[in-house]
Amino acid sequence: MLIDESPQTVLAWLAEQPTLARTIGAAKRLSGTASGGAVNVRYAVLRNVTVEPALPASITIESARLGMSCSVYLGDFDNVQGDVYDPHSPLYASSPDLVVLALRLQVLAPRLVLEFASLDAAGAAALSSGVLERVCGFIDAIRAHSNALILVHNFERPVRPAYGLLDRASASGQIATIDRLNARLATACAERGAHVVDLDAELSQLGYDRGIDDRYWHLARSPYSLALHRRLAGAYARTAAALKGKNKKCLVLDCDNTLWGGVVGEDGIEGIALGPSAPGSAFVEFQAAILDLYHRGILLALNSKNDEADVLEVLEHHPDCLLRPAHFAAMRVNWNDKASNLRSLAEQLNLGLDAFVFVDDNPAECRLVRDNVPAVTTIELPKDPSRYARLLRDLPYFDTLALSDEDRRRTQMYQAETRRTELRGSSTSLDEFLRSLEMELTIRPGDALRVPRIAQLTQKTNQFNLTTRRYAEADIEAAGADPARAVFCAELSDTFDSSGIVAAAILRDEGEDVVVDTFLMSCRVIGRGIEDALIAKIAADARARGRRRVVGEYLATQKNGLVRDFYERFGFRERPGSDRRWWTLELGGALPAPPAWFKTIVDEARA
Amino acid sequence: MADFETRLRGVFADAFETSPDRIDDGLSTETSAEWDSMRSIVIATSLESEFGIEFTDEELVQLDSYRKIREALIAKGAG
Repeated sequence: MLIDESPQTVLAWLAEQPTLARTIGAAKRLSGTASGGAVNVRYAVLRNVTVEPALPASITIESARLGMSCSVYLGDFDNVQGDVYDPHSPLYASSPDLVVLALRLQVLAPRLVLEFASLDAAGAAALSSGVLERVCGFIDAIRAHSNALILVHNFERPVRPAYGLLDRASASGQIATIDRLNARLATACAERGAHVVDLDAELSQLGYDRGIDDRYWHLARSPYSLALHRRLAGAYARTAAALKGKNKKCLVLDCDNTLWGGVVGEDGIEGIALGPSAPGSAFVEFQAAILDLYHRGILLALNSKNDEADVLEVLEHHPDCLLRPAHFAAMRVNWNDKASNLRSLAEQLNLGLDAFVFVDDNPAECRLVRDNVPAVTTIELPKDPSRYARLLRDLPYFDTLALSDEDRRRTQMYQAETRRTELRGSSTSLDEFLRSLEMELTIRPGDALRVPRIAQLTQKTNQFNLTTRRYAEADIEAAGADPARAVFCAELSDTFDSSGIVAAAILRDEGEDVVVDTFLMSCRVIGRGIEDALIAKIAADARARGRRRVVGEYLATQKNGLVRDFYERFGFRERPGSDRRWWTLELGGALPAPPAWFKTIVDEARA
Repeated sequence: MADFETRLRGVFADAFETSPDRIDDGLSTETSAEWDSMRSIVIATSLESEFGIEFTDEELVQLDSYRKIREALIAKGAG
């Protein structure tokens, strides 16, 4: 029927008629298509309700929307314990990246949902605690046997509560009881490094009666509608995208009729629509949504056909403009075509084009960008500015698993980089430039404080990454705790800024060898010799511990050509016939030395 | 919009992963080994979203042939 089976074609076919029947057909086709090197995610869903066939199919579809292929293991109906407590269960055999606990309260503790008014306060509290204990038991068991990310559905808040209108008036009402249970669940998940899937919020956005259908609940123990399954699957896929480094890093914005109404070059700063009343208020709220992304560590950039002075006047002086020049990591306010501007932004910010989302109100500009830089995700704004903010907040591209200091300070770091570039221009030699930065490097073990950022680096770093192994926080913790393994990270500061953790390595002992499982560095600090210092540290450390060789591994990807010759550069020899994968450095000879241009190198991770 | 019969066949074709011309009045849970209880739910849910109608509890357990389903939809005004 369909000749071209690209994921986009299949998704478009589904969008024509998004019935359950077609959802299943689309999922089958997506599983059949050659994924062309797409990142693959292994999901496992443990549940106490019927979710098939809608949920597994929806997971395939939502993953494809974010550029990933997947497999889904579905646990037996209401048999979570059979999977989680048995180390040889099919759950663990499926070696999942993500495990979802999709448990409905109505099955876990029916009386709490259906017979709430028959319970006294102590009885309700005891049932709630019992539920929490069981779910935590499941989480702990999964954690003990797997390093998968764990996602836990929270519970639907009753919309027809036991005490009717009065329910809200009492702290022991059904609504308050379920809210408290959800709050305790969130805390328990956070303590365990598990993530909550906010089923209750998905349901309230969709509408309870559109999300839960009692006919299919009674007929087949299948309470959730296709629309709700799609939303839940979307939440899993966004988490997977964050884990696999597929999330977007930079939001590029047009100016006129995007950040404000009207054309600043013609209407002037007083004439544009931006302020407390319509239509300007819609633009203020859109800017507020953009600012939220900025605080989540998303880089902002401008790509606008304007005179730069006009745009800067608004950003600096308009009283209702929330976005200021300091919020932007880079600007292309000029008369060049926007596709070229995007390529130049990618170069300046050292990011792949697929890390960019471009937003513009002008269909012609959007088409030009789509045609010329298809790797960029282009969002064409709707006609009504009042719809901008919601559209932006609904985009599935910007989620991360944690928020580190580095995220919060990212734009500042890029701006410092711009100043470094200026200094480089005025230095007479590279060596002089590097010395003038007065860099201080600290190499440390990857202790608990640093685990989140190291895990994040493994998830996000694509270019300067020798093996591109993606790790969850639990994996990094496990490596750090294992006496046969070690995790190192390097923190950098210089005269302009403190960059935090910019490089990391994961090592394991194998007999007389130290094998480099992971070696990566943030692209922001390429060309400053951080990698030289870290590899020198690894070699010196291995020799001090009496090892004979350091063994490096290079797994080529479409993006890491930059480090193809990495080990060769430090005197490693290719293991014959390994097709450039394995590299050996004999520790009997000369070792790589750290560069001389650092002001200090502090070693907090001595052997 | 396509006519009623074409849309109806289209949903069944999607549900059975076949082409619309292979769907006819003879199709039922009796004649098709592929029409199990899971497929019934897929068909019912898909028809509900395609035609904007809702089946009753009773209908959901009785809709076991293409002919009956077409009649039920016509009775609901979808045809």
